[in-house]
Amino acid sequence: MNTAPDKVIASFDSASVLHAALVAALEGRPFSNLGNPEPLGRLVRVAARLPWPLLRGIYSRIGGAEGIPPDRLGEIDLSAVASAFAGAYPRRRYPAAVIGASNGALTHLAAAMQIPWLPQTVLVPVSRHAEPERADLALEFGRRWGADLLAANPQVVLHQMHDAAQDELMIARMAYFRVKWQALPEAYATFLAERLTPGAPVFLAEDRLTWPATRVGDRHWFQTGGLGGLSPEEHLAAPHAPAPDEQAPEAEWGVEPGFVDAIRQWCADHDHPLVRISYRGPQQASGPVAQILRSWQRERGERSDELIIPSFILGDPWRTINRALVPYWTYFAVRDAVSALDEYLASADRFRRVFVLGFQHGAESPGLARPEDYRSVIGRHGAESVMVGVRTRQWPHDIGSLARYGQALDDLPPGSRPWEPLCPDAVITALQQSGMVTG
Amino acid sequence: MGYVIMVPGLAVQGYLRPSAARLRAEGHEVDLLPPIGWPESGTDLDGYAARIVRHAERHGPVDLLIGLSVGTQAATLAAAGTGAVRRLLLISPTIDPARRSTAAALRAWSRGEQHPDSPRLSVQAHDWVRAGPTGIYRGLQSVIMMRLEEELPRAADPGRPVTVVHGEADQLSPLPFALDVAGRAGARMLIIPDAPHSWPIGDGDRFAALVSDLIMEPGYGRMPAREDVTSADRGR
Repeated sequence: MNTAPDKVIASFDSASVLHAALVAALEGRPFSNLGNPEPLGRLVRVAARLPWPLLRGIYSRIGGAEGIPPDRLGEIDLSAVASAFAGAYPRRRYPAAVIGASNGALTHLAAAMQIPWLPQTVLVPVSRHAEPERADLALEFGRRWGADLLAANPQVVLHQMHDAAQDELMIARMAYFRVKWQALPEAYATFLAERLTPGAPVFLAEDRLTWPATRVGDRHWFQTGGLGGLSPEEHLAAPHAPAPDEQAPEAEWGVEPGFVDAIRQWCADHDHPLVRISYRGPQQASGPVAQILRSWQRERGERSDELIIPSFILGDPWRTINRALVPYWTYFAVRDAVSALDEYLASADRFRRVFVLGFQHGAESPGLARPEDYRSVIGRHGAESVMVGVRTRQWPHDIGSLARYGQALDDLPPGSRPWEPLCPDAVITALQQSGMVTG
Repeated sequence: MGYVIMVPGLAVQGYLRPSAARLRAEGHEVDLLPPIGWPESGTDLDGYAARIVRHAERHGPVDLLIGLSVGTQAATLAAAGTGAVRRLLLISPTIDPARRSTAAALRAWSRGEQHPDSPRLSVQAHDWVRAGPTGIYRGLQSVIMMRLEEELPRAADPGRPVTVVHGEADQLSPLPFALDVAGRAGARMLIIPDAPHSWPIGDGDRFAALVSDLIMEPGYGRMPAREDVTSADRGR
């Protein structure tokens, strides 16, 4: 098993895919097949014709194959992962940067500004065969092996996450070790020092979402369940769920307080203003970001009556901007995200058409949003709904959609007006007006 | 309306004639210069830039000097060498650091683009024959090591407005290079949706609108009425 930086982070993780999509946008490239090469995309489209019971096994086996053998966890160097994240961006000076929590709305905003985002949380998948409903055994597995990873990486906190509802297929073959930096990795500090223009603002994506968690060790939490579909209480009511001790930053989305302190100190020491984009839960950023980007389109005389709904990691910021689509990102294809969309559409000027990208995670999970949920909400607000690249009869099993959305977006008409990268100062002002940034 | 000079890419000019004609139809006076690599232009970038300077000073002042592809390098050197250029527009700037070798530049060029507006081979071939292999090779050698990112700030230094344009579908000039070049010079950066490296080919409307916007931009003094100028290479 190779422990190179690109091999120890899950390829299906929100941080790694959103980061890769942003790198593509900063290089001026479309982001097809979730960043995978076209031959693999073709293979996925062909494989998607197989019956779901057969495809289900292939899907979970391929995903599970990414798992790191637990006895190799002590060899993982997460500072090299940070270095790989920073090093992936084009070598030039930037007028601002985003750092912190994963958030698809903010990566679209960063693409519009043509600035990088440095993730705070990454997913290390650990190979394990298990019964998904036995959270207690997952915790013991983490207790047995998590110490090795933590000993080798003193700057991180481990938030093991076990979501039997949405990650059912994957956790049968792997444990989710989500790690959060609680200090600024050296590679990030070097990147910011070398690549930011003097006085450039640093946007902190500060998701304050917490979750009741079980403390396993000094830098080790265990989280039963995850955001989407079920509440923490519903997850914890399941048999075998370990009792929580206290609230901790949510494993996938929440930001680690130590990291916030570290970036605040770095900004103070290096004369860069820190702009804290503060919100609770990943969905909250989507409305303000959609409004900012819609206003940006209007200001240059571009059409602004078409909305696109990127879903979890399924999206393409470069194509979105150049197709003059307003992005309203949803953190997952679940009903509470669709409810948030409903609220946004109720508050916004009417859209003529709404394009829906529905991430297909392959599980009939509680709270799953179906095509009719999207259609109902979108139709209620007077817009036409268009499902992009997905076969709705196979929802949520249409794995082929992961390799179809690129061509589907290419078929949409391009924007008509030249665009300038969005000015960070204008974004700060707009975020202040939205209440997401104070001071 | 304004006086515009267009500086085309390496050894090609024909693909820009419709764009120049479109500007003329809008009322601009336009000189589409012969490209570097042709016998009448030579193959030395500095010498070619000096010719542009002489042309600008003889017929100018120039409201807008437009460089395209390799022409961005020549236009930048020319603008830095004369006060007769009021504004600079660089479309699809070249050559980025990763392509500063003959092999890398040829590799990028030979991959071409799949965009429907990209120039037809028949149009380009006619121009390449005029340059000949020697003209193309020597022209390429002359431009390949010029660092646009270092030269453009000099061209922009006296407060001359500079705009850099990148086409969304450009496969030859990478976006990060265009942004870097623009950022260092304090230039305005524009990205054109659905545009190839050879923009403005096939997109006369947006091109004419951009040129008119730049020339008419508030705060930018209009040039006085110019004497009627005749020139063998003015193509009017």
